[in-house]
Amino acid sequence: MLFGALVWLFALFALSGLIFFVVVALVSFSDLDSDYTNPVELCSRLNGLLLPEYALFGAMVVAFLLGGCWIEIVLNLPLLVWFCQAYVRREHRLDPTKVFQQMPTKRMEAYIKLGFFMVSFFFYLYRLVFYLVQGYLDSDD
Amino acid sequence: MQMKQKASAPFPPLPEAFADMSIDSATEKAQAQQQAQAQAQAQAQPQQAHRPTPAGPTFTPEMNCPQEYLSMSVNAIPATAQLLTKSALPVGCVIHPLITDAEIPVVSFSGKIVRCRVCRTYINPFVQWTDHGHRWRCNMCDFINDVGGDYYSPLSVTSGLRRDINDRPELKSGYVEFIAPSEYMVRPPMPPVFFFVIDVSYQSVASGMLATVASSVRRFVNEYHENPRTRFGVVTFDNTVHFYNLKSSLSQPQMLTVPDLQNMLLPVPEDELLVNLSESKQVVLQLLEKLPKMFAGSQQVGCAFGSAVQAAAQVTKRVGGKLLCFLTGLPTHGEGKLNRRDDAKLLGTDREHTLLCPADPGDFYKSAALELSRLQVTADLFVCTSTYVDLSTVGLLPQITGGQVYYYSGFAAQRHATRLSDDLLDNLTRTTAWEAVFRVRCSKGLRVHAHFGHFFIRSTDLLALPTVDTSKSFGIQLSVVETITQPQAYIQSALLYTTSAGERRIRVFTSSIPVVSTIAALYSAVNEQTLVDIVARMAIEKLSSARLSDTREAIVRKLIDLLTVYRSQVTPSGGALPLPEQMANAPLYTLALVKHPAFRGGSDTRPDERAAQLAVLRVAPVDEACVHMHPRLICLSPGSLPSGDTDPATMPTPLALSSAQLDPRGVFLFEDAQSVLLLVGRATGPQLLGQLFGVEAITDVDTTMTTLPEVDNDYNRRVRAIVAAARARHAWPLSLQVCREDVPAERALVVSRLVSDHSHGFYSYHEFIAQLQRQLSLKSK
Repeated sequence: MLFGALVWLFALFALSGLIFFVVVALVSFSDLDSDYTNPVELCSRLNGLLLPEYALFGAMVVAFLLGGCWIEIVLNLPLLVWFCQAYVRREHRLDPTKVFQQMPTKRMEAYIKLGFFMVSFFFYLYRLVFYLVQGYLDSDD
Repeated sequence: MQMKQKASAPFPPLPEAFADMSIDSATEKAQAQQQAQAQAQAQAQPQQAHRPTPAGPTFTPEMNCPQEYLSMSVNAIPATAQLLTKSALPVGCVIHPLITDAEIPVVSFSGKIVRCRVCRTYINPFVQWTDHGHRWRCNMCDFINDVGGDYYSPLSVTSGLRRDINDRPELKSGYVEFIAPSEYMVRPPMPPVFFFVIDVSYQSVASGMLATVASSVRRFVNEYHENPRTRFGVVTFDNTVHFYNLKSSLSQPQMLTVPDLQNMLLPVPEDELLVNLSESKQVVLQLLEKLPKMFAGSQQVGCAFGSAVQAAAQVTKRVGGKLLCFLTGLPTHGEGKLNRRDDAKLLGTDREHTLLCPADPGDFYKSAALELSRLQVTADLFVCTSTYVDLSTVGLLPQITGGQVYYYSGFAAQRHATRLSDDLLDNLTRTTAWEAVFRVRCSKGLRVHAHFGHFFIRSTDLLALPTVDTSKSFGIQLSVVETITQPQAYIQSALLYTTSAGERRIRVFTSSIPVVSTIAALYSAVNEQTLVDIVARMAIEKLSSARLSDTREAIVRKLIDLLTVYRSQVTPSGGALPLPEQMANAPLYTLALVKHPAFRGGSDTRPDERAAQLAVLRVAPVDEACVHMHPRLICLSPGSLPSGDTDPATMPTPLALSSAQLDPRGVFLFEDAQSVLLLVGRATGPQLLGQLFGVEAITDVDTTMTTLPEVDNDYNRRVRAIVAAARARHAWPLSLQVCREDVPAERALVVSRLVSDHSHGFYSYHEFIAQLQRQLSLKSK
């Protein structure tokens, strides 16, 4: 029982990390717009965050796999597929010479990811509580 | 103001050309005749589209920035975004900031430069003075600014203009230069810096490149160099990098080799490697004399170009400047070494465009270029070889730092030495702007959508240009973001730079463009050459992610879209191929673009050649780009030269670019943006040869000559005057090459560029017109 709860707990922590990375990206974009940073710095910062982001997300999916939570895996599948596609097509890294052209797209992507992660966060929280409460109620019988 | 004599209509009268066209139906033939007549009429008109008067109570036509500096693709702005998309017209402009021998009014403000407080637009002729001249309304953002005490002048009652307008060039003309006070400098103005990065491997010595470069630079130092602040430095490389200590106190230059290619450290302080040219003149001259001899017997074939560039960056990092890099092979040693990826099997296939994108290990060149840009260093690249150098990757250096690519395929001293020497001297002596930034601002409702050219975008809309010179231009594409309610829209471009004399200046161009709300008005304001240039630049952008065939198709589809919209919106009852007057030559230019060496099909264009041509199209000013796409072919046979004219340099009308025009008994002049070719027909009579070259048979014609021989007769004088005039009307020196039609390789130089032929797997001009008509009639069904 405890193991199941651990899966969701881990997912919640991973998600907070992922949300943090997306927020850093969004703040960096607005910094670029208001001239607080330059494209080279921005790209090195955001490209450095890519590996941790993929690692966290991958770990979360693996945790779900181990825990056998199929709904969550299905929900995360589109994002997983999208990450893999970007990696294979080598578009995942930001290019300082093209960043101003790509910014509207990247910003939209960041907002969508943020929305998705926020919804997932509350959904996993609900699932965790549900699981714990159910386990408590079951053990009461 | 001195302005270059523009060539009159470069296109041939078409009716004869259409005479042998085999079109099936009689009606089509009649329509083709009609259209040919319309085209002939269009050519009789001046090339430049009508420049509308800026509307408004106090504006006059002289206030607009002249077309040479800022030319719009469409001299009108659509009022809404829907209108822009519906019209399918690419609305944008091409800005050519520096023009040779141009006089531009210079203004010095006693205090700060007058700019709008909100949008930072510079004061320009189109602002509106309110409150009896005490305040001014910015034409870009409508903010009302206060006028400082020292700038105030009462308004004239009759005209509404300021009383002191004749003393203020910035309020009278749309092109002006401000002297920038110290707020516009982050460091003291830099001196001109020329740093040479020269390949000294076996290939470079054997082909004669090293000797040519050394003698050209010696000529520059001796004859052309005047500026007492210029700094100079040299680094040579084969498979190691060599530095040269040029301290003025030395009796002779000292060569220092650094063996470690990975961690480039300077062996001596940089002020001994980058010296003041006037002070160290003798040491420099000694070095340039010795350089070819030092490496004369070199058998090294390695190339440590990446490391050499890093070394150069280390030397120039405190000052900035210009790197002139001479390369004769693929970088094989040290940092930035590249692999050969020019698989001949890929040419002509769908995967050919991958050869035009930078290679993966090319990340080195991108980050090196970004670093150079940060240090205010531009890299110009002279590639003197026909072996593969992966110009798509190495070319990132000039592309991101605002430099230029010079490509001499199959460099051999006999043939190319004069060309290289002329180009190098032009590069060193032309007007150059140092440590520059460039920004374009537009009025409310408009936004800059994309920039085209060689630069690095350092911040929103801000282009970082370590160097700009007279051969560079920038393309801007505009988009409409909200409905424009004003009758006029405004564009202002500002180039903040340091002159070679060490003065900080701001060159401001402002143009006023009428806002229209119908498609007909847009199409009647099209500026054909700029439109074609913008389409070409957009196609170059597309090439970085799409296949060559897709790019060509997109170019043709753009033309078809324009014609479809024109037909459906403006002339629903027009013929089979309705063309607006201003776009009469658009199909010809489209065909020329699709067959340009950068884009054309077939499998005989090498990737380096394509990359070099793309680099030319990206920066060339509008008229050069158009002549490069559609070169000029003139017949120089005695019978074709215009008679009864006092000026020997008057040129005959240009011919259609088809091989049917190449009379084997004639002599032809073929002019594009890089060279002037004199094609001698294979059956040219001995009399003509004698008059022109002083020889009897075509086999005696020396095709390595770079100037025509002076033979004492009128015809020779006229031909030489015409050739000189053709070479003089360009922004940079053109080389002359004599080609014999009986030598297939030389004939191919001209014939491969004849766009009206059926060549490179694409239609001839007549077939293309027929194809367009077919597509249009399909679309209207």
